[in-house]
Amino acid sequence: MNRVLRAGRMHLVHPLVILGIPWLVVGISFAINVAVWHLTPAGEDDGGFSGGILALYITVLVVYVQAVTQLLPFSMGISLSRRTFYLGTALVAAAQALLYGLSIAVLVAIENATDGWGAGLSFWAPGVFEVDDVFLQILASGAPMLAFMSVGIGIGIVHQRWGQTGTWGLMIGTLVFFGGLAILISLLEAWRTVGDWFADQSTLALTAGLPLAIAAVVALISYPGIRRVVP
Amino acid sequence: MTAPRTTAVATVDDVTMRFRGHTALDAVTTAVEQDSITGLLGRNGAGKTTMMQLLTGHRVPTSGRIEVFGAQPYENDDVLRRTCFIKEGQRYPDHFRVQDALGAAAMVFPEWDDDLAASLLRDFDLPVKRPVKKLSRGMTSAVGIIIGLASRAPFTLFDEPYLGLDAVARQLFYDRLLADYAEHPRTIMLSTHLIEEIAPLLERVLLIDRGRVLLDADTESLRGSAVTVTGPVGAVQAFARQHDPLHTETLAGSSRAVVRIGGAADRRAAAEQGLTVEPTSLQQLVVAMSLQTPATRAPIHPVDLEEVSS
Repeated sequence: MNRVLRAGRMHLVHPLVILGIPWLVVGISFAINVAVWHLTPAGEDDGGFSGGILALYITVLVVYVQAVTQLLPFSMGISLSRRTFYLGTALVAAAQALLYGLSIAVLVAIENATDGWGAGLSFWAPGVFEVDDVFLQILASGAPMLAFMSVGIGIGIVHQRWGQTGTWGLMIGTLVFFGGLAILISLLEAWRTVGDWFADQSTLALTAGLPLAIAAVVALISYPGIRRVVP
Repeated sequence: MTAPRTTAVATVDDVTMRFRGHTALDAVTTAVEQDSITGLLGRNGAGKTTMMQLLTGHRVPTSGRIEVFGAQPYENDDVLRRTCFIKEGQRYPDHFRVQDALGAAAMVFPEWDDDLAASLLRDFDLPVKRPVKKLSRGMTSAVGIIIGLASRAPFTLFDEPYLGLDAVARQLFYDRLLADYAEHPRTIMLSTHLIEEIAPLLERVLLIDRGRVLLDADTESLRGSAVTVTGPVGAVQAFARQHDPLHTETLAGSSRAVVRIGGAADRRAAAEQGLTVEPTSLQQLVVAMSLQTPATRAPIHPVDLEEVSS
């Protein structure tokens, strides 16, 4: 257990990389959105929202891809087992997702108190991701973060285990899978059923339950992959 | 003769490692004695790195059994915390400075010695605040050497750790290794091509060629196990036939041969037959044995140079 904590601490060497860059990116995205919302009538429509926060989630995903490709070879170089590295990384991801969820929940509260930064902007929790309760907001903003991290770790592991070929294979495979799924749903003329299913789910199930399930499934799939990485 | 040792830190039992279309290690059986310095020698592609990867759990053998500290090393933190593997071309995270790399190593090796690391940093004149990525080839090697020595890991492996290091720094490495080993005996395995340089350090030699063990002995008994004889072709051939010739060069009626002998009596016999007798250095012995392989020991196989990443 002690070694797991130490493996986790290795991620926090130079915390600017893991913590600073995502907030820098989303900060720029936020500033652009606030400016646009003030200069245009975008906020006048009821429920006007921006997808700009996606920048934060995607940057975090990239940070976790790099956390694996950069730190795993070194961790193994100083005699940490793959399992220890994996658990340490998962621990840091869980703590960071919680912290980010909390930060976003605070920003959502400010956003709502200032009538969307004075311009009717819904940036930090767009659309379905906005829930009424502060604690639930932590979950609704933090759980998708964990899913993005888990996918990032998974991509990093594929890269370490199967190299460039594996990464391309993963991208093409994902495209084929979802493309095939779309064709299948079209053939079955089931788009309405799919839409209804999503509409029937509670906000919490969509914003927290589904992302947490994705995070868990990806984590379970990538674990056997990391066990065969040769640094 | 040294007293027979009974304790082995690591045992390799009938281990074969196969990659796609290429056998890196072929039914290797050996043991690494506790508190000894073993030289792992062999040509490029002989299987040295694979052997070390197996001993440190970085790979799993295709067949056979590896045990380190009485357990299999693969994904075994209890074994790994007592093991330190410094390899050629270790990758460091882009944003890690020298002090970050050493700090991380200090966290995970229980026997880590900060004072030793600090004095080695001075010896190798390393800038602690510079990113490892920005260091020269030799300085990067020095970072690995510092981690390997300061870890004081009971089983420490260096895989060609001197890449890009100048002669002075290499001598520094050998001196510091020997000094710290004398104070804190531990099990050390070194792979190297600079046999001449490292020979005085070695207590044991494990020579592999094409995935097979050619030589597994202590250097004490190797000394005097072979001689280099020079003289007329006929006389050299006559002497070589009585013993075990490893390698012969002939030039203008005169021959020079590396011959394995039984002992001092054979050496005297060679002198009596009018031959010039010189001791054979470890490097000459290793070269002679490695060169002998394709011609006399086994049929020639084409060497598969393709690196297989699996």
